[in-house]
Amino acid sequence: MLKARFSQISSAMLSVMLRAMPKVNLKALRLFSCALLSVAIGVDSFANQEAKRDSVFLEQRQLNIRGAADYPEIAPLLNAFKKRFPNIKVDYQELGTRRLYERFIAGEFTQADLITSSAMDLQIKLINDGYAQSYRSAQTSALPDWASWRNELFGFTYEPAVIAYNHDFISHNSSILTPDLQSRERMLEYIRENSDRIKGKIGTFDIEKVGLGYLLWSHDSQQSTSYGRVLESFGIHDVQLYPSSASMLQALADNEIAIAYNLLGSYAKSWSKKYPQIKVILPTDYTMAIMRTAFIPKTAPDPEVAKVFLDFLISEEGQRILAEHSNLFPINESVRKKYLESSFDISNSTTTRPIALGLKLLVLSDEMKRKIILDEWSQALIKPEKGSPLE
Amino acid sequence: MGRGNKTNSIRSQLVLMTLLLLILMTIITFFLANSYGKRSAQISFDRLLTSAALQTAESISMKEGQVIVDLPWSAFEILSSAPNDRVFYRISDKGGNKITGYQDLPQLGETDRRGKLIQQQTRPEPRFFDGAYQGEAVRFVLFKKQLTETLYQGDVSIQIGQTVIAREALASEISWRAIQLVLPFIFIGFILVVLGIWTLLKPIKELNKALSNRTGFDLSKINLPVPSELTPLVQSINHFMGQLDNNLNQLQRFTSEAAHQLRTPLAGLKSQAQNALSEDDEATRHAQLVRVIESCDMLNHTVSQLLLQATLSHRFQSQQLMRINLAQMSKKVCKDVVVSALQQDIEISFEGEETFARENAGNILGDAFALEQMIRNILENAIKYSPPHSVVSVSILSVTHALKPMIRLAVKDQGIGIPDSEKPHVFERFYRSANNPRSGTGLGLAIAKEVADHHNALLTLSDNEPKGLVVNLTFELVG
Repeated sequence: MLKARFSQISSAMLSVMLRAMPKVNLKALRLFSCALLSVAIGVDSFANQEAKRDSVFLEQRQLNIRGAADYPEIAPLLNAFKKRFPNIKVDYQELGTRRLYERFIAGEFTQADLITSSAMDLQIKLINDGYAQSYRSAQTSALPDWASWRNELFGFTYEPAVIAYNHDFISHNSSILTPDLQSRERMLEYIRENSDRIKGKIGTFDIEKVGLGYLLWSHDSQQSTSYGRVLESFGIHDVQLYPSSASMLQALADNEIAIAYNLLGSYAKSWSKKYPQIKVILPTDYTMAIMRTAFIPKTAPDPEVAKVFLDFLISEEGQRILAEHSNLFPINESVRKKYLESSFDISNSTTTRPIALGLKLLVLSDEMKRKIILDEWSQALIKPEKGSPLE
Repeated sequence: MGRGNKTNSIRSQLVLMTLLLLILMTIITFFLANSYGKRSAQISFDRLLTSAALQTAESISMKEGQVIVDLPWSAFEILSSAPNDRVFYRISDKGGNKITGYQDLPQLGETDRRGKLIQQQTRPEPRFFDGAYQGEAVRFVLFKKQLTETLYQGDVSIQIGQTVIAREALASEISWRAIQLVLPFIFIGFILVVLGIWTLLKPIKELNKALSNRTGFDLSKINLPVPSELTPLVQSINHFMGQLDNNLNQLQRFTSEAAHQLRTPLAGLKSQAQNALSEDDEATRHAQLVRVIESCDMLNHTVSQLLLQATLSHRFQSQQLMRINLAQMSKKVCKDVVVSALQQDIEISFEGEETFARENAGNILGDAFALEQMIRNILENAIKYSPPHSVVSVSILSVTHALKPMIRLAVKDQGIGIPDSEKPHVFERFYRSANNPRSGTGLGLAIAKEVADHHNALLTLSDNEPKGLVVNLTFELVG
């Protein structure tokens, strides 16, 4: 009898609980079951992944990359990849960063399996707007925190922004034998001291046209200590604007300009090998480093191939190929240290600061923010040329 | 349990109940922790959203009649504390036109769960709502900044939304922590309860062990330390065993006395018969054989009295008491014995019937057979001890005893009576007074006493005037 009553009570209790549960936390239950389900699916997809991955090595596959890196720079890596996976045909199309972004948004790259670009802000915008699919592997997990976002965007190069100068011009005309341009402060000092001679001899990116220039300049603008004076100084001294690294370096080599500001270290270094008068400086006050990044679009026709390539790209092997055969500095720290420490005179006082991949970069892709930065830029640099009353 | 087909251990029931209770507690804890985690995460991340919105509001300015939003880096730095969450924002003017940001974000009115119409706010206060954007759950904050410039008067709406990955991660982290904190207590609680149950039930187990280890003859008291709840049980058991012991002793005594009482006349019979066998004288042998027959009668009487007693004790255990009219019954018994009394020249008078002539008056609760036997015993006893030509008077009286109306049956004889010193003993079985010349079993009054006790009646003896015995039987009346 007691037992019967007891079981009545307990069953009543249970039914109350069951009745109350959907009301109380249906959502939590759903979440819970979703989690269970996804665990099951996850396990399943892991096995599937393996199977798919195996087939990648056997079948004839096609990998389409749309990238902003110059083809000659990326070619050694692509070749190594083709050698490693002879069954995969690689198609690489090269575009400017802004153009790449715009065409991607316009939906022109539905055939692309991988998008690479050095315009970190635009890449972040694409990720934020949900265009990428996520991928996790041992390789991607080995990347530092700042070199990936949401497991969707991955940095694969690490390139400091440098100041390059024409040694012939500077040393020949300088009162001191070897000018000290190690920091922005020193550079401004030098410009001030040689104000007349240096006028029209400073070059930098046209940030309206070059995404990389915009990215670097906007980050400069956050450095309140020197930014204002750099802008002012550039404005006064008729800074020359270049649409590409190559044109700026050419001008530097040709002695058209004496100082090139915010160049990518990788390019500058390769030019300095060809033209010894070009000297490269990692500013000691702060040196920013940008990353080239890659993501797999949600629309990728063959994401498995893209994953294999991505893993190869950030693997030690791929990174070593970048380091050895191109001017792209690898993201992998040990490889970078091993091969590139000698290429820069990285004194202890110099610390390169990577521009981290993350939400913060979303600010730069804001249309109004861009307008504000560009307005400020053009007001400081271009208006004086037009002979505005500000001069 | 009541049906007795299956007995459940108290322990397993207690443990089961505790377990169910704890499971219930765990489930409640789970839900509480869940909602607590959600709330905490909601509060923390809503604060981030708020400060991002406030900072964005700070960066709104007017320039050449246009609203300018210089999106602050810090706002997005704050939002980066959720490292994997996407952010969608939209800054729109009083007309709802986009100034900058995402064009097609869900609006507060559309997704407001409370379904209330959003009223114009007088005080700028961030409002939160959940929505979905690009197929993902997004938590939005809406903050309106009032601009009072000459060229623009009205609100600028700042809407910032962030996906909820970090929010949910924090929520589950907090709830998991809470559960981790509570679960050990529940677990320890369960162990303590089980231990407690074990300790509490230990005396029962020991009691059981003590009882089951006993031999059937051991009726001594249980002397175990038990909790106060079990003391009455142990007391009852002890009391019961005491009674059992007493009964057993009585039975034993009775058996040995009965055996003695049967053996003695049998021995007498045997020797009388042997005497008769060797007796040559006809007359003497005849007399001896007559005595043998008398002894047989006597023995027969003893045996039937013994049987009567056995029958009575059986009836007392099985028969229910019924309404009996004591006067009528007494009268009937008187009639039954009157003939044999007259043979001994003894008269029987019966009086008092009128007192209870009314319908339903003079009723008592009793066993008819037992009462009849008792009255018969008393009467026969009285007749037996009465001298010839005397009267045995039977009377029914109404008395008040212990402030209650009672009915009394009094049987008076004019025999030798019983001295006061022996009165307490005559109810003992096989008690025979030393000065009693008459033969008897010594069972009559004992049986009467037993029946009286069974009926809760008072059986007393007193002396008759000028001589003789009065047997008083006082019963409780029933209406």
